[in-house]
Amino acid sequence: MTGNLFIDSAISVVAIAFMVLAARLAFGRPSGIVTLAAAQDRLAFDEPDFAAIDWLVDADAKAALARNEKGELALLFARGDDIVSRRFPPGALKTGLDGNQLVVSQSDHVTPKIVMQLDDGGNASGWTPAFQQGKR
Amino acid sequence: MTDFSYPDIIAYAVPAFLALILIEIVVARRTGRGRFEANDSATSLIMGFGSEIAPLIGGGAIVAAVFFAAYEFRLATIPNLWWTVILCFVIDDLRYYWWHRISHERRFFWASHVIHHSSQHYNLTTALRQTWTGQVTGQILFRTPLVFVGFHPAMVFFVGAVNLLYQFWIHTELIKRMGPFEIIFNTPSHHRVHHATNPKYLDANYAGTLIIWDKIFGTFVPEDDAERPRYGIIKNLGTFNPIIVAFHEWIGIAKDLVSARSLREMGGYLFGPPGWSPDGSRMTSAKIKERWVAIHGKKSAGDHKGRRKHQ
Repeated sequence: MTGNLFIDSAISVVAIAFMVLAARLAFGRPSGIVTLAAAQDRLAFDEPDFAAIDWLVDADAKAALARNEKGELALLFARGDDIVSRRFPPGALKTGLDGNQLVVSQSDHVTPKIVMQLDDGGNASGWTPAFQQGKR
Repeated sequence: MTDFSYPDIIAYAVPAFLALILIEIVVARRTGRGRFEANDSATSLIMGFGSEIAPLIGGGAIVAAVFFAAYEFRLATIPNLWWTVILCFVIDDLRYYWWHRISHERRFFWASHVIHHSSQHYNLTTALRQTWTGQVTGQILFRTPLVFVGFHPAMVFFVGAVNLLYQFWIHTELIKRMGPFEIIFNTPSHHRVHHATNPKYLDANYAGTLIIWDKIFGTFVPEDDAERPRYGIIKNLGTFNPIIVAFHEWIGIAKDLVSARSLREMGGYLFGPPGWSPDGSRMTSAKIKERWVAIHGKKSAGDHKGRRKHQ
């Protein structure tokens, strides 16, 4: 490099942009698709002892929510082209159901608020105890 | 041989980094043997860029001064000969093994190192995903004993740079196995295991250049063709934001320290294994392995004697 911090930094920024552009052109902009099967696969890997008894899957395939008999919840959501999971004890997850839209937020400082579109908000009726536990 | 000047090989290597990343992108696209995502690569490269800037802002100069001061009190003066450079490299590689292992086993050090593991991808850009807070954990001080023994600071910096360069190319899925070379040297296959979160791969392959250290200290695990590595950390990040990537574990430590009810708890949160908690409700990698064994049996979780890896 040149030894000049400003020039070297500018060169680095241009090089980074070039490499990112190359990755973008070669691989497009793949987005993680949270189907039931994909969510089950990720959950089985991350939390193998979580026996889901029920699932809610986002109609836009961006997130899914599972619950087990203990009342624990597992949230799975797309991050880039992959899926990330979070497991919550009963009462630890903040949720809000508005019609067919389920808003899931948490105090975790690295996880964004998740908005799930449900085909039928009524599907979530069986989840009421879990949601009520989670509301704060 | 008292001229301890060495080439700045990192500066020379930067164009090669760029070329190799572009080649990997093209080959991965054509063969389907690798995976890139622009957002992930951008985060990795920004982290790499920041890791070069951070020491200029922080204590890089101070630590370097300590380094050179130690040389003033050295036990011996080791000359600049080809074999002393090799000797320095081998000893520094052993030092790297233990530094790296501690960086996985103690949360204070993990808070800095976790950045390198925070990508769910494994490609050459992942190699450049480096910490911004390495100076905070004082990693260079772990190399001070080499200087104190009598290796010139410039030589120690040089062999460290060679080690760093070596570790770049092993971050790829394009190269599968490398035959007898894998007996002694760290390779893409060995390092894929290190970056994997599969329970059977946790706590393994801490080597820098020489994989022999893992074999000697019982942390070596070969890649199993039947179990493809899944990369990242146990609790993968939900963001590509470089600021959060850089500081998320430090923030987590700060939150835990605020909630701690005793000095013991503070010590546990700071220097316990990643995932330690007073009530045992969180998962350390040892617990993850135990859980896996309970579900799938001992064989599937691996039988090496390595301990904890990362949360």
